[in-house]
Amino acid sequence: MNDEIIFMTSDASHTGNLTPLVHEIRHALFQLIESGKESSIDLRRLPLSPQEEHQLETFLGYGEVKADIQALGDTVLIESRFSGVWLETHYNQTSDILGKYVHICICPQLIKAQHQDMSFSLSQLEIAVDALSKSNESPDNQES
Amino acid sequence: MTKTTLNEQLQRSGISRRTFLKFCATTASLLALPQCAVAEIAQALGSASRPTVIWLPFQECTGCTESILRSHAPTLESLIFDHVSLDYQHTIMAAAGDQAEEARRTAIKNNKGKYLLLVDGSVPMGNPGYSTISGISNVDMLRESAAHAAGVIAIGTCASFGGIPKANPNPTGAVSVADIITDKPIVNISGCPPLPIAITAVLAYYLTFNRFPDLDHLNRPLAFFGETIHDRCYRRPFYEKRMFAKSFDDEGAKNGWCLFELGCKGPETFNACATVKWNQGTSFPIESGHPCLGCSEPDFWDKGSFYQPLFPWQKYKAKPGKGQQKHKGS
Repeated sequence: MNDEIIFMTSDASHTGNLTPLVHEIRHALFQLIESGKESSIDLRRLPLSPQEEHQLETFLGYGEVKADIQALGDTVLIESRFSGVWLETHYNQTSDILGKYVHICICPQLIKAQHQDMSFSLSQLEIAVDALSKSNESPDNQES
Repeated sequence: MTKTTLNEQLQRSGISRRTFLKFCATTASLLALPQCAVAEIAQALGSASRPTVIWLPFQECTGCTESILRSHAPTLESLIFDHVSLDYQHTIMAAAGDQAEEARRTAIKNNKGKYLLLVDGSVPMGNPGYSTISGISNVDMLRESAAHAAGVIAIGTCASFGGIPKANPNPTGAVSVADIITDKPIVNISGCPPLPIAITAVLAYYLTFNRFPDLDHLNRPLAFFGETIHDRCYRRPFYEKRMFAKSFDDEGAKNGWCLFELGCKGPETFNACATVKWNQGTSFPIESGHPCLGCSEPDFWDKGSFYQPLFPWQKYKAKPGKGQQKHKGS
């Protein structure tokens, strides 16, 4: 019986979620400017068709900053043409997408140097500086 | 002796903080947690000390173990598995017999109330001799090991629901872990085999929040079992347009149409294969042209032919939606 059948009335390539999403981004950017509140939107949790995802990326466009981070697979961070709106994509080592996010913030967390890494770097730097100094002090390197 | 924290361990392994934050962001996304939870996960997980894990393999084919161990290394999910103190896993540990059992009992004694018990495989109740480890029957080992566990994770459909050993005529009297252990929090991560990232994410959630995530009515984590394969299948638009492959070599099959009439169990199977996929995100069975067998559901082996449609498709009334939530994490 026909009344037992559920049809998808809309085109499968159009969920209708793109417009509300860009409004949400606009609202989040307003909040960032007004109160400094940062936000993130997890695109993986939203039902967007591949076409809509592509439309979103086209809409956001490219701004001045693009960062490639190598951390067990690439992470690509792009500031969109709207300053303060960033698109972050995590890939695994076989270039499959693990996650995709829109961040509305001054600077995404992953771009910043991390305190823990810096502490480790300091100890490595001290060893390197020490080695360099000793090398330069050796008689072979002294000017006659 | 103070146990190593995950932060310390990652640093020793040369894993950067950025990589760890990436793992936390991905885990939050998989568990359907808001992105504001990433900082909380990073903080809690980073300072968590190595938990003791005891993994009991019973009536199983080792597919579940392979599922987690065969992933490329190092992957993000391996961060967690590298961190836990896996004190007993009979299949892969070097020790055997009395030595191995001594390690298990020592781990229990030293971590009473704190360790997690992982189980794959079903438990034969027909005759204790059907499956033993070092002369100990599976049911005795399970009861002894679960007595002081903080929680139990049943890995795979055999441990969760009895699986293939329980299939008719169930010659060993196989039962699930939950049929025996009734006084502990139990999470079922079903699947034949289960998605490895589901195991990792549940461990990460437990280490972060000290409890299990929200579960469905079959004790499966809702984040992975909240939707059917059909709900998220990329072939779903063909279903809606009644475009079905009728055989494995017809035009419909070649054009990637819906496999419902070839017996696909996707509409009644709750799992995340269609989104997480297999083999490092390569594909999932339907993407390879084969119907879903429904392997994460109870008694999937006894539901008739894998190649018979679930029902005349016109009868399909189930709306795309969520699995039934049973209770909040415990």
